[in-house]
Amino acid sequence: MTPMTADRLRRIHDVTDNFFFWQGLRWIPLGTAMLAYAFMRSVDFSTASDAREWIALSLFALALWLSTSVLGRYYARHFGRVRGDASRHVVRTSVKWFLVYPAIVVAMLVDLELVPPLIVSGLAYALAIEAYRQSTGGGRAHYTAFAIGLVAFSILPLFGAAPVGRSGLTPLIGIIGLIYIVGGVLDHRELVRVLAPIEEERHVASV
Amino acid sequence: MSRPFEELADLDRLIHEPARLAILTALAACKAADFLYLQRLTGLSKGNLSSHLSKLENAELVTVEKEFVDKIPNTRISITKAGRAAVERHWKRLDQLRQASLEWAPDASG
Repeated sequence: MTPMTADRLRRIHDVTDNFFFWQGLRWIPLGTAMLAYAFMRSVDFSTASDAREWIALSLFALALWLSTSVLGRYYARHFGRVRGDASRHVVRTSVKWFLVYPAIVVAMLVDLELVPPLIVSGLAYALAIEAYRQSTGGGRAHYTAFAIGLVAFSILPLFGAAPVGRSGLTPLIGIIGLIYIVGGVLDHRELVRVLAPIEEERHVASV
Repeated sequence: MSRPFEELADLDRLIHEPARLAILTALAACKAADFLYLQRLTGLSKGNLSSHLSKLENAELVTVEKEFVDKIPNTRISITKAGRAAVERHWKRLDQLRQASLEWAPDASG
């Protein structure tokens, strides 16, 4: 049995409390779709823009299906099921819907309409990522590193090193997609560390 | 004032056992979890985990229900009101003991 230290018990509590968010592989399809969308927007394909939007929409629908159905079943089968207690997260849910998401939408509108000399949406996402890390069980220092990276990217236009406005949002979507992918892999690794494979499973895997 | 080490002996053995404390700590953070999740969490064999769950169930700290999920049998475990209160009380006690051990001076208490 894994030794039970106070830190491990705290981690057990946090992971159980936020089990859905630690299922990192679930974020990879969405990240891939965002990356593909950013690529399609940045490369001048001969396809009409309407067709591109439909392709993107299909990609996001596929990502949603993979994330909820296929990967949801994978986690239930290999890591078990936890029925979360929504009443423990009323503040987080309220902050997410009434503060974080509206702030991101407003930031994007500011970037598109007012075209400030830096990418405001990047700064909003950086704050959202750090808030996400803290409100879903802490740890996972990679999210803090991502947030710092996003801040650095967002201020690049001040030095003339990156575009602003609509042109600045396209690479931002790609970077966020990449964050979902890398963050997802690292989250999954952390989850495996907390929920180590059981002996029977190890034996089956080694056969 | 008794020494922190002596107070350790007063801790509830049923809850303080590492695997059972891990199970109760996890269950206190959710509505329910299944057998596989608790097995991965504790690293126990099926037999050992069943034995710990039986002890907790007999003490009315958890409830164990069998159900079918997608036609596959699934064992769902939830913490009871008494179990939640007991594990919260236990953690509070452990925090107090940790604090006491930091403040404890061997010469002063004999």
